[in-house]
Amino acid sequence: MALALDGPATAGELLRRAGLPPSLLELVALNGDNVQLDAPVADGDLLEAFPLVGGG
Amino acid sequence: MPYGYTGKVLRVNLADGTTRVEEPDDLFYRRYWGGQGLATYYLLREQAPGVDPLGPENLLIFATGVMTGARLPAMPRFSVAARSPLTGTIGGSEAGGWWGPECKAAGFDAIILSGKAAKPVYLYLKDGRAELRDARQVWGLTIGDAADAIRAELGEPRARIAAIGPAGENLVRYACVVNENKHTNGRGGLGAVMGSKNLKAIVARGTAAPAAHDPKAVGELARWYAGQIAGNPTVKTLFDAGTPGLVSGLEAGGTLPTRNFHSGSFAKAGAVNWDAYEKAIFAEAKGCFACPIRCKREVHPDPEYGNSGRYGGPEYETMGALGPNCEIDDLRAIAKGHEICNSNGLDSISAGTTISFLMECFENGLVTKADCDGLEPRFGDARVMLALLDKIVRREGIGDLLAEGSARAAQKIGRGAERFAMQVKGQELAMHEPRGRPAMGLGTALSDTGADHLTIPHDPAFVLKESATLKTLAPYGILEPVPQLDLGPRKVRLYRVMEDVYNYWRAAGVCLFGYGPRVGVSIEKYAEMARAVTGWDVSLFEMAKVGERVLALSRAFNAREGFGRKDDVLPERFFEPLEGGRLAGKALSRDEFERALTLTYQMRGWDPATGLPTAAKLAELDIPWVVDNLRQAGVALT
Repeated sequence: MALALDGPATAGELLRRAGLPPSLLELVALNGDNVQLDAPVADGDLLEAFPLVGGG
Repeated sequence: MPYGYTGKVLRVNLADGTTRVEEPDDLFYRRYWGGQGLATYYLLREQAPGVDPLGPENLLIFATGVMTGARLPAMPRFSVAARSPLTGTIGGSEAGGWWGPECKAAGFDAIILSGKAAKPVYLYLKDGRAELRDARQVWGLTIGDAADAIRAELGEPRARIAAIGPAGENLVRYACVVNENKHTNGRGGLGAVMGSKNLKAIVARGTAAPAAHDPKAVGELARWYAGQIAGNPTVKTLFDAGTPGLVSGLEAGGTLPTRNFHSGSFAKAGAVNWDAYEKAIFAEAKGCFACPIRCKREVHPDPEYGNSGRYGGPEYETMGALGPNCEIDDLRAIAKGHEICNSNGLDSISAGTTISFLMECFENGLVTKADCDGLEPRFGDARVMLALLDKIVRREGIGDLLAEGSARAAQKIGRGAERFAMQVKGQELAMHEPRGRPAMGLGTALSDTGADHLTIPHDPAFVLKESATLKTLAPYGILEPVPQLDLGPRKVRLYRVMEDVYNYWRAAGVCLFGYGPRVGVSIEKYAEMARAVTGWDVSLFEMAKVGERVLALSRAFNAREGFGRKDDVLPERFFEPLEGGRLAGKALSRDEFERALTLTYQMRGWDPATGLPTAAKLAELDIPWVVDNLRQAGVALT
């Protein structure tokens, strides 16, 4: 989905806006690289969130 | 008075049909905690090195843990152990379900079986009594049919039965033990050991489960846990989708083993993910004894594919091994493959990975259509996958070769086929890609039972500072995230700490799906439960030391069989670039991997040259007798 940025934002803020609370996530990637939730996001960035996938 | 366990170990001599009961003291239970700890203790103490895994000298041990059968979530598990016919190492595999708690209620913590019965038998346990009975009438039957017939014969509709199917009878080297049609001691070929002893099943029925030390506290803790499910996202993911829910995340992360581990991405993953599963085959969720998580899946009967549905639905590992890793996108065929495996007692991981091995051999011209009984085992062919499973069970034609496992099959095929065998110490890898999970790769290489995915948690779980799994590790001193693809000292430390925890679970009879780090339920909360059940003043330190002790015993067993650092390896493929998906191009670094191995041994107090525990470490773990045991076997420790 595309999210409009009104100003500076972090990965965590955007994911919450998208309805993805951090507790449901395992990995977050910005433009292909794993990042923490406080990573700044800029216009045009690709933010990916991966669910919990551990276990057998 | 023991709380949580019976204090009784049953000895069964299958050769002469005699039984007797031993009563180890409380100290024994507290030192080894049952399960894999108890089993490995007896195998080291009583079995000579070098016995034929399929010969009468190989002891076969069924062992519950101290916590098995407690009226608490995720505590149904028990171990089956012996020298593995697949690997020659210690064989140990755990199952959930209902058999473990029933065995305890029938009066026994563990059963040690020696010798070989002259004709097929089953063992019937009932309220402290044990009886060997004729099994000739059920020999050759599938797991479910045999169990039904035995229940009818005994007039025990509520008996719980752990049995082998035709795969175990035919000594398929990765035959497994199945209880209640759906719960498997899957790895290491322990079903073949059972078959070699002419033992079809162990039937348990009991009415006197061991008391807990503080039943009121146990009840309160069970209610507390049940209340957690809706609000705890990590528990809820298992509740909602079970392990099949993993497919989408692994595909998105580029770590879904595909085409015999060539790629981390399957173009048709959408056909085999949870959404597809829920729409096409899912009937309802089920759970194990006293567990509210209910991660097991039931499926609808599928007459078109000949699937009865009575063996439940495939778990993630089966879906991966029979699906993407064979490039098969037919979910209903995968479900049928699951039924062939469970009804015949076949490890679906080794079966699927041996089939993907054959597919790669065929596509590279190492085996021909004539070698394969007229089949053309190409990637993506579901019909061939199902036909091969049937042939493996019966050891028919090419199935006889595949029933030996991919390592032995590769040796026989020759011409470099070894490079297509995705195995460690002779056991096939589960469906987790080491190039995206390097610590898990380290654990796969180090595992004493051969490649095994249940030795440590998954690397991606510890990357986010906010990760629920990471937060559960603070009591163990793991305070900061570690990058996913890192294999440096901080990741090795994480691995080393977690391996102790996982080995403790294997001893105690606890499912790793119940507590941290797999789900966000604090490990401190588990310790509270252990105290309420046993009355022991259990600490996290004690639990970690039990796990470390179990691991050292396993290493010692393997040392006597000639295993050491030289065997702690991964297939060459994982040091080559991954071909597809989000992590395409990533490879493990051999130098980094070897450094990580060395550091792991050093952190454990093991000799990095041999990969074996030192005499000082065994003394620190309060098992100095192992030093003499190894010396008598000709293994000198530093």
